[in-house]
Amino acid sequence: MKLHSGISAKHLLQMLGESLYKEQTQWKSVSYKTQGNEQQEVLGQHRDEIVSWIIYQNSHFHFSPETVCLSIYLLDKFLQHVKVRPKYLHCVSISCYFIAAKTLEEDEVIPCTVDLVKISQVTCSVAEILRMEAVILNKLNWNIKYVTATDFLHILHAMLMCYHPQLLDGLRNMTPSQHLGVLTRKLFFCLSNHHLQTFKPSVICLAMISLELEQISQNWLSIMLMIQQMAGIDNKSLVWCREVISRFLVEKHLLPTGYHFLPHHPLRRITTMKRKAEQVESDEEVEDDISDAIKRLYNEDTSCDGNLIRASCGSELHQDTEGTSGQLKPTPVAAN
Amino acid sequence: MMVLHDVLHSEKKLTLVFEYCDQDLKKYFDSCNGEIDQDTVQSFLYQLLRGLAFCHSNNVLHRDLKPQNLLINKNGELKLADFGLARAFGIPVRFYSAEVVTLWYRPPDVLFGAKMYSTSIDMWSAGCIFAELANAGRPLFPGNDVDDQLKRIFKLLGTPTEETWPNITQLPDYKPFQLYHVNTTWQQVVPNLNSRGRELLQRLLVCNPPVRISAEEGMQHPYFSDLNPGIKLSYDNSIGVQTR
Repeated sequence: MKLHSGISAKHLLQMLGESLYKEQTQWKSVSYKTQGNEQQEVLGQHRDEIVSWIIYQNSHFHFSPETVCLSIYLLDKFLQHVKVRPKYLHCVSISCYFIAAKTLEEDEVIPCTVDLVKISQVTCSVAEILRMEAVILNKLNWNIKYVTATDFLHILHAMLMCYHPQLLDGLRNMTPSQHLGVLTRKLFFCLSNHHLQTFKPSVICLAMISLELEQISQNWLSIMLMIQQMAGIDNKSLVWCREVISRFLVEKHLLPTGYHFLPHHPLRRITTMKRKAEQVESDEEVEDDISDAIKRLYNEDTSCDGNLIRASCGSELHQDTEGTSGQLKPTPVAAN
Repeated sequence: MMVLHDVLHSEKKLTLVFEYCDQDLKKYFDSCNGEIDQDTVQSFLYQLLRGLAFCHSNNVLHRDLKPQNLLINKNGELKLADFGLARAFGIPVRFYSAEVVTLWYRPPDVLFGAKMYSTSIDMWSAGCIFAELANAGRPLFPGNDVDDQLKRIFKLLGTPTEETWPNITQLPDYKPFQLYHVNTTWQQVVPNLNSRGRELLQRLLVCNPPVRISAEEGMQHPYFSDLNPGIKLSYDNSIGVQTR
């Protein structure tokens, strides 16, 4: 099977192998302090705020998700290398964003530095950005071609569509590209949480994909195992990462996703029952969702059954993969 | 592929040091006075496809293939050069610039302003270069502007329609062209090329991009069945070294 871009299953596997290899050589765990002198050092919360700001900027500039993701990667890399005062964070971030755009985007869509400053309404000057760009590039030894989480998301999602082309069949309004859109938005949320950056990008993507699969396929576990094996990702970090993401996305009302099942979908009945049972909570949740500015920014579907708060199934995945097989159930049920 | 030896950058100047090649394909044509050995044509095209297959499997589009950017060393090795317009491509097909590829080698979809393209963009250029090779340096579609370029293409291949090329009318700069009656045969176009070569040429010069043959498929084409095995082998080896 071939994708639109003419990429075959074999080519995908090759891309996955190369990306995993690069990740292994390039990636270093990213961690931030959560307490300290707020004026003097960049803490986790500063980092998360500025990452959300970069993501927000992209609603003006419309660069590809790859560019946004690379900016965040460069930012983390730089902040791990260099002690930066929080007041310079905007200048560092916009410079990382600019470097990423110049690396990945076509010349014709890259603004000149003057326009970059004007459109982003950043408080630093053109000269400061130029100086900062040079500082960042020198600190990173001019190596700016990194494998990022979006690269893995694209490869893993394409593999899913390739090996399980019927996966989205029972869903309303969900083409592969729409599904990738849903996943990309969630990935951005994950990237704006510094706690998750101790995991490799490939692990974050796979964990996030598994949380989605679980909602739309009864065979999610076997599909996951297949991809997990192909990607050679170990159980322990995957299960742990999945647990953290799950908690985080539930907190942000982004899990469950709110897929609309077609009448014949085997998971439809389960979700509908569940929804009725928690109707009351549901109404409150929807109101919360509407007031959530960030959610609107990403055009997330607010009518989704965001109330379906689910216990994390991380431990179940662990048990199941350890070989105690048994009856595998999709989480909406297992959560009870 | 050209080997990049070194990069030197000073305050105002950036110098890229590449391996040395004697000439480019354009100069080679000038030196052959309208005559070319068909084995050389076969060898050069094979090497061009091999280079493209390598780029495409590494997710790189060249986007500026033309004789001036194909370099030839004294061993008769052909190398892809000038990656100034090249870009990496990913899995989701994205909008790229339509201002790419020198006019004569630009595919009809990009001439109609298509911004969503993939590896097929290079395959069209390869087709144009193949015909030019077979005719010892006479360009196939030497258009003066976008309209003239499209006219020349359609006069040879027939004007595409919604039937032969679905969604052609949706392309950004699409405009209807007169339905040309095709009255030239491929034998007239490339008189020195054998029938297998003509068949491969027609598989490269397809207006509808997804139908165009890929570099890897092209290398398997019967046109190359009698290719000197030494050429196949030596380039397989040289590629093997570069992928390390």
